[in-house]
Amino acid sequence: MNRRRFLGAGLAPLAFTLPARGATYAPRRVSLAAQRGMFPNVPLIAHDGRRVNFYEDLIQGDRIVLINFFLLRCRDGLCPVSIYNLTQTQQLLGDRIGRDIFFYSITLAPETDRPDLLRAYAEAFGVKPGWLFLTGAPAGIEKLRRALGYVDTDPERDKDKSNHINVARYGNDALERWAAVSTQSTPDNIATALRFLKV
Amino acid sequence: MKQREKLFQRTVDLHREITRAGLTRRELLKMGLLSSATGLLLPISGLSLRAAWAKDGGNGSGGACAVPGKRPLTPFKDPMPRLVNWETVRNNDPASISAGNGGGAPGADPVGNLAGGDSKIRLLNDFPQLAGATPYANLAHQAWKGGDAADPSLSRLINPPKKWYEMHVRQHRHQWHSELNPGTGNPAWGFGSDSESFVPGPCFRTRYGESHFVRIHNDLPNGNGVDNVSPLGFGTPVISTHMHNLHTPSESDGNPLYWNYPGHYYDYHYPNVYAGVNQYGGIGDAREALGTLWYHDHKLDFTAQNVYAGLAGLNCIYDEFDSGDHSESSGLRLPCGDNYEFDVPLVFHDRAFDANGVDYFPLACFDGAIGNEMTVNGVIQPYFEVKRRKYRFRFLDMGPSRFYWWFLSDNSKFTVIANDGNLLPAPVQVQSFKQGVAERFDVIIDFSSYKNGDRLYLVNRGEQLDGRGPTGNLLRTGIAVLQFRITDQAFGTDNSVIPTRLRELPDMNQPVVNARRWEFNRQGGGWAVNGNQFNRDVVSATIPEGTAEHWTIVNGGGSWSHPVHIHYEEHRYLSYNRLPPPPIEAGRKDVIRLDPNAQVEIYMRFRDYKGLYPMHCHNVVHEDHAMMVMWKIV
Repeated sequence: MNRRRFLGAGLAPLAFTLPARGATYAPRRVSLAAQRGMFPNVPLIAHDGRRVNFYEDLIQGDRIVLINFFLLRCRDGLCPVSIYNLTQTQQLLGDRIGRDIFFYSITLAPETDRPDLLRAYAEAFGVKPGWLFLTGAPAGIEKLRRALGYVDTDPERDKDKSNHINVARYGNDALERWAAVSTQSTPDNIATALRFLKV
Repeated sequence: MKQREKLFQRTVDLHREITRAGLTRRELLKMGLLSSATGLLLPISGLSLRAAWAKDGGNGSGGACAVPGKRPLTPFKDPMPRLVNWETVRNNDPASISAGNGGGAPGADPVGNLAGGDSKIRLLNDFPQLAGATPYANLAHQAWKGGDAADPSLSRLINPPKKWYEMHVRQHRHQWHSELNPGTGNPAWGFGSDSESFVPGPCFRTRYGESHFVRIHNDLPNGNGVDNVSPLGFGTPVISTHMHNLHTPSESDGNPLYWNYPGHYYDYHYPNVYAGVNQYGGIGDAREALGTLWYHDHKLDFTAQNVYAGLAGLNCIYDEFDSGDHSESSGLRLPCGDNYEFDVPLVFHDRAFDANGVDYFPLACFDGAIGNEMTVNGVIQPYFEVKRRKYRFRFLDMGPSRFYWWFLSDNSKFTVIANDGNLLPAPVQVQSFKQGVAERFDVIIDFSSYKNGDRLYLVNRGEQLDGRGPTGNLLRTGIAVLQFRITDQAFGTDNSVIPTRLRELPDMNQPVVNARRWEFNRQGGGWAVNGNQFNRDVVSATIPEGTAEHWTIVNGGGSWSHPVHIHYEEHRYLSYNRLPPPPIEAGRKDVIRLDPNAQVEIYMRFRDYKGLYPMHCHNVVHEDHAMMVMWKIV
């Protein structure tokens, strides 16, 4: 093939070196996104009573996770649709949930959504292991939602919590692969996104 | 006198801004705002200091959307690279196309007897879980010899390849600026050969009536096994390559759902016909020609990240009018020259780097992503030496989210000849023009009135503080993105002309059979079209082949701009905010720059090939969260 890179009028290429042939990159123990503050290591309480640190215990490592925010008392009825979609998604993914795929639903109303209420809610929806409903100190929850981008630039709209519930983040920290999927779509859509994140 | 007063005012404003930003003399020198010879401020547009030195996005939304502070890098120090003109495989012989590891090309049958053509079986052996889930498992190349043999009308649409290309997508090191990680550069993903890839990717020079084929091998690190993770920190190695905005059968269009897996390849077949083959016969209606196309990644949910990784390049397609004649003596005689020396793509991409010079992509920001550095053809604020004659520049806004408002530093006019790759009916002279993500503008600049040693700057004066879109404010100084250095190097004769007429517009006589309304809006923290975020199982419009429709496209409000893009066919504005479009937008387009509360009416046809195509916002962060719908021609 005859290809030459013209740089303005001259022929001097910009100098850069390539790694040795066959060289690979060592993965980071803490992903770049985490280093930059996307997953603050905030202490949380799960609906089964466990105390966990968000990044270290729930995100870090080679696992596929899905994170969404919700409220027990959802004014416009969208949360139940999202949670229902996720329960159906959990069915579709079978025993992968809890093995290499994990769901984390975090409340936006930690003042009222206590762990025992979350447990009742989870049981009502037939949630199986591998899916945690989480609450924590209000300051920690606030830090988490801001770090994950669940923010509206308009302060009035930001106060309305139902503006933060339609999108779930999914990804894999060790692969450093992060995207988002609508919780208002279908279980098939969500399950496919998770199944094919890592092939 | 007036000119001098303006210059004086500009200098005073610049002084004021510099004082406010608290820059030292040393910093001013480094930024190219202070003449090292005279020690005086250069009275030309420099950086817009407040915007450029902002420590964060300024929108108060917290860390997720913050932009790192800009590092001091010397502007106009590095030369602007040209895109590599991509050549066919050896002897243009398909037998020399490599089979690699086999791939996921459409069609179960060997494609045209190409080596490794029976590729689907290999892919499904590797990923058995894909059987049944792969949307393209049962597709064939409509325009090859495939398609439905029982439907004789499709024979008109058959155009087997005449030109054979091959590309590899791979990881490499890229030098964004000679002072940024000198010697090592930054990791990047690019299109190229099996041993050398580029950002931006190579430039194809193709021709209507000359069908071409590209096998794209995916050599990206697949992440399987701990030592195969990309150091980028974002992106996915599963890709899909979209040719924006060619009249391509759906299976080769680069649909967000039709994936090219690492270690495999995907075969793309481009018939290179004009729209309207069924209606006009031959290779279609020549009034439907495009010129400047770009190809880029379009993987579902990861488009913004993968394009940011470097996966974008150009395709310039020619015909008898937009002739690509090196001697500039036939057709419209637009600037060209040997090796297309005067037919120059300019790929604009703003990018962010953190304090350590590491690429920064705001993974957690739903609004959009803007950068703290302006790049052209892969280099931060480069210079480009030009000869004293006419050039045709193909401006591309590669995104991810920035809108430009272009001026020349001496306020001379641009001669705009094409919008979104479509030649206008006649050239339009403007002092400035706006460009949104994915829009293309072909511009002729004549350097013959300048002198050897002169400097001319391409300046962006559109204010944009975050990924939501431009504020609408015109900055007094703006940011100089590209420096032209006029030289007296020889070029023989400039045979090119600026024609008085370019390309006739196709009519809109075909009656509209359906009208649809699409509202683009923020919803529940994400982005939606008609109240729904993207769902891969939903087809939002089913359209009979050969029909014309009237679409109303609305920005539902708020503070976000949405450059809406419809695949496959070009459209024409019937109205923009209830007014006729201005001359620069009165031709055909495929990206609608939808400002807050804007409403447009378009006329569009859906002709020839059948299958699935998307419409989506091309602020690719919005697209990924999930501002997209699929429509289908049946």
